This record gives sequence, C-alpha cells and structure tokens, in this order.
Amino acid sequence: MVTELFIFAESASQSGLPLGITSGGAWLLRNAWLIPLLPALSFLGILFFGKRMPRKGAELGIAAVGIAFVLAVLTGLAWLDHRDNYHGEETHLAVAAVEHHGEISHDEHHDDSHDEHAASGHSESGHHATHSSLAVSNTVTWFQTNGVDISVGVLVDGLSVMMLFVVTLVSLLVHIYSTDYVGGDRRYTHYFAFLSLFSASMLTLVISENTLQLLVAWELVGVCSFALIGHWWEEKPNSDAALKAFLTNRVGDMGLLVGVTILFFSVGSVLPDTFGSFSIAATNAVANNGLLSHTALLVAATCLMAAVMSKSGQFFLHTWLPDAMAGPTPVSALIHAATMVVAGVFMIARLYGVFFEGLSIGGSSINLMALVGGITTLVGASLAFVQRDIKKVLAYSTISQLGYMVLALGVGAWTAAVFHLFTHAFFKACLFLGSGSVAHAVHSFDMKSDMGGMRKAMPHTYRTFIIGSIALAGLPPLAGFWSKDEILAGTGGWGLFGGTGGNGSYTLMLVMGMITAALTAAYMTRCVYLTFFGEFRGHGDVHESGPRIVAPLWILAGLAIVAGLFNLPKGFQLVPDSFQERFGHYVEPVAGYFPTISHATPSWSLAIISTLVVIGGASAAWWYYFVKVEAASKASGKSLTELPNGPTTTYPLAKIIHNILDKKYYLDHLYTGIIAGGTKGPLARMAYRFNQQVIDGTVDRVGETAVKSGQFVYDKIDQLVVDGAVNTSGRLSSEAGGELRKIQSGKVQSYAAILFAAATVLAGILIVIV
Amino acid sequence: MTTQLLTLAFERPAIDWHAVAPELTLLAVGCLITLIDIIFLEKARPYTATLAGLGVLATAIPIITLAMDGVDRVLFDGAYVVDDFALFTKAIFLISGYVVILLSTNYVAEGDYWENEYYGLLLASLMGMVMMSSSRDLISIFVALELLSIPAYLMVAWRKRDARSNEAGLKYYLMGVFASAVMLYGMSLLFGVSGSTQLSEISNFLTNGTVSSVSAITLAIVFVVAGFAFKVSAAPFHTWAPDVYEGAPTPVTAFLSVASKTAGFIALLQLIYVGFHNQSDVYEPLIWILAAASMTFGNLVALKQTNIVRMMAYSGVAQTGFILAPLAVAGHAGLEDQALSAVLTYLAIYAAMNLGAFAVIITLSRKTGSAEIESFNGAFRYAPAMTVSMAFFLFSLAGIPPLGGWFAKFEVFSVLASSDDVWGYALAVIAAINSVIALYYYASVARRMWADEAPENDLTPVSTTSSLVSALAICAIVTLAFGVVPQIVGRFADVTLLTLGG
Amino acid sequence: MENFINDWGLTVTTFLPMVGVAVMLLIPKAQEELHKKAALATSLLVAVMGILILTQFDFDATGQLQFAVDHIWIDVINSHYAMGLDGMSLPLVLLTMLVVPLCIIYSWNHFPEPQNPKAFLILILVLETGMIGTFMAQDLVLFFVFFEVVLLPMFFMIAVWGGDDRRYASLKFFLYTLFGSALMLVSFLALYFLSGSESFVLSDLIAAVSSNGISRTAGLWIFAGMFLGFGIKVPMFPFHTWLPDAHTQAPTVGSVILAAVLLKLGTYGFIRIAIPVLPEAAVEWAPWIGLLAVIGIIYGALGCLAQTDMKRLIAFSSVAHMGFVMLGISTLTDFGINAAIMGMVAHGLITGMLFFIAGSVKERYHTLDINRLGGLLIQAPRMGWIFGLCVMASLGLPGLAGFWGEFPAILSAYNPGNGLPVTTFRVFMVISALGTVLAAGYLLWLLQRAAFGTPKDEFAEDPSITDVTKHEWISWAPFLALIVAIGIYPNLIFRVTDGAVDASLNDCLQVNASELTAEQAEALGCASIYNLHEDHEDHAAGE
Repeated sequence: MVTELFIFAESASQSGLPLGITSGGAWLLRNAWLIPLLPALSFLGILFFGKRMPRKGAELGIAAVGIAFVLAVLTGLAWLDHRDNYHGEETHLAVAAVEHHGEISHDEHHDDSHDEHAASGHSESGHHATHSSLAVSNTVTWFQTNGVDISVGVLVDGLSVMMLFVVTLVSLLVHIYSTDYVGGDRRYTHYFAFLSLFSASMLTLVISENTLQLLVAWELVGVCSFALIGHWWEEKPNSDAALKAFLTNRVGDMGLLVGVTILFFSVGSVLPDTFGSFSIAATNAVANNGLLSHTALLVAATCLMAAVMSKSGQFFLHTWLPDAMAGPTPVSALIHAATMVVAGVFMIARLYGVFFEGLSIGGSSINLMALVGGITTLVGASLAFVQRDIKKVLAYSTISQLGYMVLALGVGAWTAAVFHLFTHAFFKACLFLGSGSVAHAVHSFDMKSDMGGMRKAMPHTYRTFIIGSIALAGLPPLAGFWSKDEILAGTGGWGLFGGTGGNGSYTLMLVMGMITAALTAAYMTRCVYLTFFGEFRGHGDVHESGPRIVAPLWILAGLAIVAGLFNLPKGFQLVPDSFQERFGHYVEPVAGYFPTISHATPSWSLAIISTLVVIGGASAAWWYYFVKVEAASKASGKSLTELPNGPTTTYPLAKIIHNILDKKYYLDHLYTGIIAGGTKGPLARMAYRFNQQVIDGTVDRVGETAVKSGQFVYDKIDQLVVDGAVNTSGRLSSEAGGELRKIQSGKVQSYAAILFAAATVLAGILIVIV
Repeated sequence: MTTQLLTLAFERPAIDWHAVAPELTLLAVGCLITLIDIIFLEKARPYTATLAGLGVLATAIPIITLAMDGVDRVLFDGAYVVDDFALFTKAIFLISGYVVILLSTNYVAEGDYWENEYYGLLLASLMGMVMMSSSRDLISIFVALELLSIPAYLMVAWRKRDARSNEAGLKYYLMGVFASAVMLYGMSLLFGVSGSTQLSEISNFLTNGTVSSVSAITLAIVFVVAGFAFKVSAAPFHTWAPDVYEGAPTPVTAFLSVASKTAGFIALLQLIYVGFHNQSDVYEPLIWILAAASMTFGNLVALKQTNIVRMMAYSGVAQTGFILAPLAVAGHAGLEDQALSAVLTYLAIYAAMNLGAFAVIITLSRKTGSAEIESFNGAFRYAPAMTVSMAFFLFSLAGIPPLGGWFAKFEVFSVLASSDDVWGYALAVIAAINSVIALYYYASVARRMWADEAPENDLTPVSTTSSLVSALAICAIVTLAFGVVPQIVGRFADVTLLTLGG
Repeated sequence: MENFINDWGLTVTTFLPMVGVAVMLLIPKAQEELHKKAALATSLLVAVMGILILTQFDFDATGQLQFAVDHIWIDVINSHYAMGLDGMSLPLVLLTMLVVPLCIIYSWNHFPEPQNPKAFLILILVLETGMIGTFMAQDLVLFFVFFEVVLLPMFFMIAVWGGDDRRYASLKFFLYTLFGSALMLVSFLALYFLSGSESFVLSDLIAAVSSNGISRTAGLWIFAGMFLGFGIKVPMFPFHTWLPDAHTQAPTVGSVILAAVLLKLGTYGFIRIAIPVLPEAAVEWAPWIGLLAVIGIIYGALGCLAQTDMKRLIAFSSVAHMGFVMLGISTLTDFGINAAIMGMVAHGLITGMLFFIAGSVKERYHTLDINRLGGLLIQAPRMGWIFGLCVMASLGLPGLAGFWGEFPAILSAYNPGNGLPVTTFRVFMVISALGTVLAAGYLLWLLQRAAFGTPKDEFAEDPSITDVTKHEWISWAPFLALIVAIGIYPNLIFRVTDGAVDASLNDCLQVNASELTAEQAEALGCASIYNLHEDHEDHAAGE
C-alpha cells in the first residue's frame, strides 16, 4: 500500500516541485525494509528462544545479519543499475499557492555552481523529471492524526545503500568476532539479542523515509548503545558510563525533537491540505527551493546540530563516547566507531538541504557546523595523546575523525564527508577489533602497564593494526588518505595548493584539518609503539587470537587498504576516467531533495603537502617514542609505565597542558559534577522541599487550620464563653446546689442569654439594613 | 395542650374527617396504648412497641387515600390545609416515626424504662408533627409545635436514673420554652401589625397593606425565624443540641435530629412561603447568615468531637445549614418552587440517612457500651455489614454519589447556582467548601471503623435484633434508592406551597 | 446480538460489576476462592462485553457517539441517563476493562494486609463500574455521579489496605479530590443555568452554549471551576500533592488502578467536557494550563530526582507525564489532543506496570528504599528486564508506547490552536523537551540503583526473592504486549481517536476560532516569528 499523503505522482506537473524520488524502481530497492526486518526478527527469536539454541542464539543473529548483508549487497547492485539506467516518473510536491516570503535568499551562491544540476526551483522541473538518479521511496501509513497520515517507509538512494552495506558488513564481522570474544560470557544470549536489535535499528535509521522514523531509530540505537555499554552492569562504572551515554544523548535529542518539530510545521506551512510533513525528501526540497524562511531553517539546523553533537560525539557533548568504552570491545567497534556514532553525520547528510540553507554553507568562510567539526577534531586528537587505555585512544580518535566528517559537511564537501564515513568505518573497526584482540590476550586495556612488544606474539593483530593505523593517519594509498584529502580539498581554503572549487573559502578549517592530520599520525604512532613495541610489560603467556577474531581483522584491513580506491579524485591521471569518483557518482544524490553544491577537485600539491604533514607528525612521535623513550627505558631498565624524565616533568607549560588534557578539558567535571550533580542534588532537593513544605505544606496547613479552627470554635466559643459563664456563675452560686443546680441555674441561663442575644443582634442588623 | 385541641374540636366547625384521619388515627392509637397500659399493666409490655408501630403504619393508609384523591382540602378557614406538601411531609414524619419505633423497641425494653408511656408520648409528638404539616395559621402552628415538643422534653429525660439524661431533659425543656417565648413575641408582633393569625392574610397585609412600622415587621420576622431556628438547631441557636443529643436516649436523639428538625423546617417553610412571601429582603439575608453560619460552625466544631453522638449533633447543625441554603434565595423570581423542592428533597433524604446512622450507632453501642468514636474502631472486623452501612450513611451525609445525600446536596447547589446572584454563588461556594470539611470527619469515622484495630482486639460479634436490622434495612435501601433513582423523591418533592398561600 | 449490544451494550457493561458485587455479597466471607473466582469471572465478562462492543464499533465513524442510549433519569433537574461511546472514550474504556481483571489476577495469592479478599474485590468491582461509567456518561450529572463513585472504593482501598501512613494519605486523597469535584459541580450547574440548556446532556449543553452564548466572565469562571475539578484529579501542578501520598500508601493494585485509570478521569474531563463546551474560555485558559503543564513536567522530574522511595518516585513521575498530556490538551489542536489520549493510554499501561513491579519488589524485599535495593537483575533477572523495559517506555523511548504520548504533545505545542500565543507555546515546547532529558535522568538512575549492580548484603542470600511468578506473568503480559504493540504501531490508538477528536473540536473550537483569526490573533500576540501561523490560519479560514 503506497500512500501519497501530500506527495502525488504528477509527471508533467507545472506547479509541482520536483522531489527527485519515485515510487517505482527495482523490487529490491522498493523493499529495502526487509533488511532491517531480518535482524529485528532475530532479536525476537534470540530473546524468546535464544537460550535454548545450541549456540545460545548467536547463530540466529549471524544468520540474520548475514542474509541482511547479502541483501544489502544485492540492493547495492540494484542501485548501481538504477542510478544509471532508470528513467521513471518523478514524484512532485504540490506546493500551496501561498505567497512565499519575498526576500528569501537562496540565489547567489548557486551562481558559481558548475554542477550538472545547477538549476533549482520550479523553473526547470522538466529537467528533473527525466533524471536518472531518482531515489526510491515506498511508504505505508504509520498512524493518522488530525486527518493526516503519517507514514513510515524507505527512502533508498546512494547514501542509504552505502550505509546498508557498511552497517551489515561491519555488523556481520562483529557478530562473528563476538562469538569468540564474548564466548562464555554470563549474558552471551542477551548480548547477541541486543546486537540484533541494534542492527535492526541502525538499518531502519539509514533507510528512514522521514524525520520521525529517523528520530525513532535514532533513539533506538541509543538505547541499544546504552544496554551494550552497560553490558556488565554489575560494576557501577559500567552502568555509570551507560547512563552518561544515554543522558548526554538525550540532551542532544532535545534538539532533535525541536528541530524535527520546526521542520514538520515549516514544511506543512507551504504544502496545501496538510499542516505538516516529516518527509525528508519534501523537507529538503522545500528548503532547497527557498520556500522556507531562513530563520526557521537556521533554528532547525542549529537544533539538529545539538543532536549531531551528542550522537556523533562532537565537542562539547562528546564526553560520553570515551566512557562508552566500558562496553565490550566488539560493541565499541560496531556502535561507537563504525555505525551508530556516524548517525549524526548521516543525519546531516540526509537533511543536507536544511543544513546547507540554514547554516548558509555555500559561499561563506565559517559556520557553526564547520566550526564544531573543526574544534572537535582538534579536541579529540589532542586528548588521544594522553590516554593509557588503548580503547580510549581509539575513542578520542573516533571523536576526532567524526569531527573531520562534520567539518567536511560544514564546508560543503558532502561526498568527501560521506566517503570518509565509509572508509573510517573499516579502518576504525579494524583498529578497535585489533585492540580487542590484544586486550583479549592480556586481559587489560592499559597500554602502559600491560602491553608492549605484542608484535611478536600476535603477528596478525599487529599487521592489521598497523594497516589500520596507516589508513587512519592518512598515508597514501590507504583508504584514509583519499577521504581525508578530499575533505581538505573541499574546504576550498587558500586555493594555493592548486585545488579548485569548493563552496566557500574555509581557510581556518583547512588549517585545523592539517593540524589534526599531524596529530593523528603522532598519536597513532604512540599507540602502536606502546602496544606492539618495546618490552612486554604485562603478565602471563600471550598468543594470537583465534580465527573468528583474526578473519574479521583481515577483512577489515583489506577494506582499509582498498576502500579509498572507490573514489579516486577527478583529474587523477593514473587511472581511466571511468574509475574516478565512482563513489561520488553513485552515492551523492542528484535530485530535488539535495542542494546544489559545488565540488572541489584535489590537486597533487595538496596531496603531497598533506602527506608530508602526516609524515612529519609520525616522525616526531617516532623519534620521541622509538628512539628516546626506548633508549630511556633500556637505560633505566624499567618499564615505561612512568617515564622518569618526560616533558611533563621538565617543562611547566607541558605539565599544564598535560593536566588540562588529563582532565579532559574539565568538561566531565562540569557535566557530572556541576550540571548533573547540581540537578540531582541541590536543585531536586530544593524542588522537593518546596513541594513538601510550601505546596503540600499549604494543603496540610489548610487542613490543620480547619481542624484547629474547629478546636478554637469549640473551645473558645462553644465551651469557654458558655461554660465559662457557667463556671463563673456556678462558683458564685455559693456551693449550694452542687452539680445539678449548677446546670439548672448557670448553663441554661447562658444558653438562653445567647439565644436572646443572637436574635436581638440579628434583628438589629436587619432592621438597620432593611 | 390537649385541652386546647379539644376546645377546637368542641366548637365543631365543618370537619373534613378524611382530611384529619391521620391525626385521628394517631390519637386513637395513642389512647389505646394508654388504656392497655392501665388495664394490663406489665403484661402488655411486649406488645406496645408492635402496637405503636402498627398504629403508625395504619396512619399511612389515610395519607395514601388522601394522596390518591389528589384534591387539596382546606379546613378551618384556611388554618389547616391538606395538600401535596402536607401529605408528603406527613409521610416523612410517619416513616421516620416508624423507624424510630423500630430503633426504640429493644433499647427501651432492655433499658428497663417505662415503655407504654414512651410510645404514647412518641405517638403524641408524632401527631404534633403531622399537624404541623397542615398548619397554615400562627395558632395552629404554635399548637402543633407545642404538641410535638412537650412529649419530646419528657422523652429526652427518659433515662431517669442518669443525671445527664435529666440534665438534657431539663435543658431542652427550658431552652424550648425560651425559644417559644421568643417566637411568641414575634408572632404577637405579626398579629399586632396585620390583625390576623392566618398566614395568607398576614402575607396579604404585609404585601398590600399600609405598613406602619418596617422595623416591627422585621423584628417580628426575625423573632419568629429565630424561634424555629432553635427547633432546627441552626447556629447560633444550636447550643442545646449537643448536650441534649448526648444526654437523651439514642433513639430519642435520632427522633429529635430527624423528625423534630423536619417539623421545624416545615413550619419555617410555611411561614416563609405563605406568611412572609414577598418579604424576601428580610428573610433572605437572615437565612443566608443562618445557613452560612450553621454549615461552617457545625462542620468546624464537628471536626473535633470525640463522641459520635455529639459529632452527629454538630453534623446536624451543618446539615441544617445546607437545608436552609436554598431558602436564602427562595425569594428570587422563578426559584420559589425549586427551592421548596430542594428543601423537601433534602429533608426526606436526610431523614433516611441520619436515622440510618443512628441505627448503626445504637446497634454498635449495644456491644461497646459507649458512644466514643474510638470505641467503634475496627468494627469492620466483627460487624462488617454494620460498618458498610455506616459508611453508606456517613458518605451519604457527605454527599458522595451514588448515595442519596448527593442528590440532596445537588439540589441545593442547583438552586444556589441558578440564583444568578453573587450572594447565591457565594453561598454555593461556601457550601462546596463545607462539604469538603464535612467529609473529613465523616470519612475519619468510616476509616476508623474499617481500618483501625478494635479496642482490646475484642472481636465478639454484635448482637442485633430483627427490629434494628429492619430499621437499618429500610434506611439503607431508601438511601441508596434515593441516590440511584433520585426521581423517586424528586417527583414527590416537586410540590408547591404558593398556590394555597396566595 | 447486534441489537442487544446497540441498546444494552453500554448499560450492561457498566453495571455488570455491580451484579458481581451482589452475588459476592451473598457468598460468605470465608469462601475466599469462590470470591476470587466470582470477581474474576465478572471482570472477564465485562471484558467480553468490551470485545463484543469492539466488534460492533464502527471505526469509520469514531466521531459519532455509538451505542448511545438516552433516557430521562432525574426529571426534576432534566438529567438524562445518557451513555455513549466514541473514539475518545473507547481506548480508555478498553484500558479499564483490561486493567481490572489483571489486577484481580495479580492479587490472587497475595492480598495486602489485612487480607479480606471479599471486601477488596468488591471494592475493585465497584471501582470498575465507576470508571467505565465515567468514560461513557454523556450527561454531566451522570458523569459527576460516576466520577464520585470512584472515590469511595479507592478511599477504602488506601485506608484499609494501605501502608503505614494510610490514614493521612487516604483522607488527603479523598478530601482533595472532593474539593475539586464540589467546585466542578457548581460549575456544571452554573453552566446549565446560564446557558439555558434543555438538559444536562453534553450535546444539548454544547448546542445551548453556542447558540445562546454565555458571557465571557461567566465562561471563564465556569471553566475555572471545572479546571479545579479535573486539574486536581489529573493532577496538575500545584494540585498534585495528594498523588505521591496516595500512591505511596495505596496497595499495589490500588496504585495500579489509580495510575492506569483514575488519573485519566481528569484529563478525560477536559477533552470531553470542559473544552468542547466552553471553547472560548478554553482558549483564554489554555496558556495557563500549558504553563502549569510545563511546570509540572519539570517540577515532577525534579521531585523524582529527590526521592529515595521507588513508589514515590514513580508517583512523582506521573505528575511529569500527565504534564505532557495536559500540554497536548492545552494546545487545543487535534494533534495535541490525540497525543494527549495516546499519552493517557500509554501512561496507564506503563506507569501501571511500574507500580506492579514496585509492588512485587516490595513483596520480595519488604522495602522500596532505593538505597537498599540493587541487583534486581541478578536476583530476578526477568523482572529486572521487564522493569528495564518499562523504564525505557516511561522515559519515552520510541518504539514503545510512551513515546507517542510524549513526542506528539511536544510537537503540537509548536503550533498551538488558533488564538493561542504561539511564542509562549514554543517556549513551552522547548521546556517540555528538557523534561524528556530529566525523565531519562531520574528513570535511568532508578534503574541503575534498583536493578544494576549487585544485591546488598542483607538481601543477597534471601531465598524469598524469586523471579516473576505465574500470576505476575499473566497479569503483566498483556500490559507489556500492548506497550510494545502501540509503540510499534501507534495507529492502534490514533486511528480510533483522531476522528472523534476532530469531530469534537470541529464542533466547537475550530469554527469559533476561525472567527477570531486576523485581528484577535494579532491582539493575542500570536503573530508567528516564522510567519507560518498566518498561513495556517488562511488555510483554516479557507476551508
């Protein structure tokens, strides 16, 4: 059942806004929802029957994700064909004939566009109608409210197909890896159940047709992350980390809620017959065409940025991600490196029209997103230096790389960012799983005290880790190089490196990117040295991990080597043109729901300079660790657990910097201590005290007062006046009659006196009034 | 008093025997009981209560026939009227009286009190009440009032070996006399100003006649109303009630709190609707004050009572306030009938629920031997049915649906809310708040009986008697029926007094 | 059969529990098994009636009253026995029918002290009549009666079977709600007289108010009275203080019914009576309602953070959750009210479940002090996971029912109904979104302290701490299934409510509101910063 709420197929519409989507296309594309369905079913299966299965449910999870992977590959192939060969009818968006806000400016920065789809708006809708890159959309009604159907469904295009591939692949490898890594765990079955649920949620997220569905999946991956970080919840630090992750993400989700809401009504305001729309395609299309006020888009984009910052670990909401390493390592590889944390990046890419217009990415030299990305990448890289825990190094590295992606999106280098997401998934997963492999052997994550010299004992892990590190550092020709280089080119900074194009001149971002490149190379060198070189500082007899761990490592390492080749830059003379920018061609939408961005072309000079920067960073670290530290360690005969004469002991400035880094820029203190502690402690107590003493107190006091006034009236009026008179007269009446007499004489007299007095007073009042 | 009655009869005006048949029946039964007592002495004791009960039931027959006849009968030049209003209120009296007899049966017999006289007096008092329903003349009102009051003075002091009972009887008597005196003073003023004792003529005069002194009329109205405010125990004329209620035998207390109070209201209604009709600028503020004061005062003081009978006394004061409330706006155009119907509805429902509450109190006191609220703690453990019934009656008094009381309160609110007048709304809000305060002590008692531990954990069951159970059953069924199908009482209470008054 | 359901369905459903009560009254107290069976059978019969009604319900006409009966009930005050069912009441009625039998099953083997299943079950059945009746009543007097009928059994349930502080809590609950309903009754009466309606039947009143009009001041005061009555029941800040006490002291089943159904009587009153009857007053009051709702959201959350008692924490969370419901209602839009009904159902299921769990925890650990708990997941893993699920549902996790009450309510505040100050409501929206963060905070904190970690020494070896029992499974499974089912497919509720809400708002608000578009809206300061609102209004006016 395909519902067209406000979107109606109207092939030759003059008034409609082209969306760049179709309800046709190959069966696999239209039914991509099957891919998340499989792990969802396996979640239920494992949940209810997992413990009774021979392999405790793992086989079900692997089978489901495996089939999902095959389907994802087939879907990908279908997309390749669809991208080049499909010429179907395009869906158009009917737009209300309301007067659009006159001074909307979506014009000037399109002028310099050299892209094939430079045009925008209604004027060239015919052009779009015959376009071959229509995304496939297929929806059903989810619920109806206010007479409007809210749908759920799939939006399949290059981006989602790419994500399907990455998620299913990494998930499959992590599943296989986990059977060994968490084998014999006390909650083995639960672990796989949550892996399945996570896969299902993540896959739902990437094929979301609308922002509401995105939001739902967004939170679901969050809760899976929560459950898996806190997998060993018996220990408080683990559950603390899980809580921290969830709560930090909730802070960002506030932004998502608000942003989605603003977009919903903003889009609704220009569509006829509806009051809102969640549709991603419609939202983007409306934003691209300047039908929405810039303010609305700016506010929405800013709110959504908050969500990105929490989910994708951007400064200053990144603090949960290192703590999230409390979870099992495969989880870190899957969720906190390759897939979930890139959800924020994915969302920007998905709603790029909104961000592009809202943050005025085109033609400027700085914006919120680029700045956040730039700062994050530096913060992450700098913090990665001071970690002893190998996973934390990788976690900060992930933050840094995510910053890279956000920076890229912020400067308009959409394809570069998405490509970096793609390559990063492989080499970072490889590194995480490698670190897990090492930790599995030494039963610790502490590089300084428990590792060292692992290259001999664990050759496979060592080699794959080196490959991953080189890819991460960005040395050619491994994957990281290509994607990083495209990002640097995309900044459009300076231009003196010979690169061309770009959406603006983001010189600052180029500088940040360069510095990060150097830092990345340096901290990875440190990490590799501490882990694999020097003397073994741990205990016991270590040996290489089993095949279920090594095989995924090699597959990922292989991808880390070749993934970069999918998007060789234009003008790269060594390969034929048909091999250039394949990734960009298939992944980047060319449609009404995608803004018109300009593409930068990298240059040899930029590539060479960035490579030199990387080598420079690596060399400095190499000199320090492989030469100086190694020598010192040998000389003192001690392990390098605490270097006797490191720079921090020599230079006060270095010590200060080290302290700041060690305290993670004091952000944790601010969040946990001041904000959370303050809310949970003084603020909550204050509110509760207010509740008990003021509000409830008032209620109680009203009650008490009523009762007391009852007492008062009874004691002072009913008894005292009356009885008082009685007693007085009783005392006066000379003992004579005793009790009965007292009653006879005194009390009744006073009663009668009251009766008469009251009647007289009442009469008096009334006579005066009437 | 009897002499006066005989004198009236002696003049032999044209008498509609059918119209006075209820009164005569009661008189006859009363005489019969006295005769039997004289003849058979002690041997008659076991049968008097039954006889009295049957007598009251027999009295209902002429009332039913009169109702079926449906014609308003006017006797003695309008001094005595049998109309729907009179019949309805007579029915209330008789049913209340019957229930009181049921309540008294064992109490009086086991207490070793004089029985035959007791029932004789009860029937006499009842007869005064039945007369009151028809009285539309200052004199007949006064006669009826004394006829119903004097036996009550005696009955209050019936526990002759108990000082408090004697005290109560004496106090009640003296206070009653004072009140009568105040009222008589007011009546004499009325007579002096208007030259007539008949209410409709007083009304005519007050409306059309040349009024010499506004102050005199105001004074008269205030004094007359004050006299009846004593009878209905409205604050600040309620002072006697707690002491008397506590001291009197409990069935008598029940009788006073229901029948005697109703009689006072009947008189008040007749005065206001017939006599002071058009004097609303005088009686409305007066009643407003009485109503607001009674509700608030009664409820507040009831909060602190530890003796359930005293609590019921103060609760009765508060209920009086509620019953008075519609009269505070009764002079508003278009509201007369509605207010009357509200008061009558309330009286009928109040009779059922209040008698029911006393029935439970009497029953439980048989075991606990005390009327302290504490002694009823945990009654749910040993007397669940009693406790549930008590909760029924208490919550009905508080006005919680679907028990009868809600409809009574609803009618009151309904009248006040339709007054379209700030004072009316204000009284409605006061009433609303008061109904919450009232709930506090009603609910407290209910909660103690349900939830608390019985004193000394004494869980021996209470001994009930068939008469108590049937009294209880009557009250419970009526209370519930009035609440679920308020139409029953609504239909009968939908009467008018004005047509005859004019 | 069809005819029978049409004519008698609602009446039989409503009063069937009373038949059960009558039967049980005749059974001696000692035969406890028989009592349990009788009560269960009665409540199941009611549920069967509910299913029969459901099969006959016309889902394409949810906006109309179905199975309506209308007889004169109290002639003197023109009150009718008018009952009916539409899309607004159906979900709540079904919720009631579901909750009652499950509560009976839950109590099967562990009645709270001092036992006495006969009395306890009779009270539950009386409650059921009251609750179902309130949701079905179409006459204000009838509504009032059912609304109050509910109080008595709950009072006794708390007073007799409650915790240590039950005297205070039960009286407070009773007095507080009675206070509200007394003023509400005065409002009903004033409404009836001032509008000159023919009867107390809701549709008559609506027609009378819209044709005869009612002065602005009167409307505002009357609405204020109803606001107090319903607002206390909801409960809205600052009238909420009875709730934590009542919940904490009530027996488990009492808490469940209180949370699942009783609180909804208040919110239902708003959407069924207050808003349709007095739309103009509603427009003027709505910003204040919205304000109180939002304060409630934040305040309830802060209150939760300060709690050390699990049950009290859940009780405070009700204040916050009902804040979302009220926020949705205060927008006076279809969207918001749909969200509110969804929120009611979701809160009923989720918080009901949480109270069940709290009860079961109390039974095992004999304490609800969060600091003494811990490691529930180790000692009773299934219960721990169910607890986790409910916590997640309660904090509004998408895919579970709670989300669909929360997010649409927040969403609707962005674009409130015509005549409402847009900027103000947008501020509300942002603050309420902050509430979701706090909700996650206190609920996860609760989960962490109660379920994670290892058991405290005092309970570590306690053999009485068992996992979910059979009765618990039976009584919980439907709740859990519904939480998930509604979460995945919210149309289960929205489909039913949408038409009814639309109809009830169209009857009153939208027609009236469209009259005050341009200048009044301007005057009220609702010119939108995004200029969206005017578009929307053009729209509404265009239709």
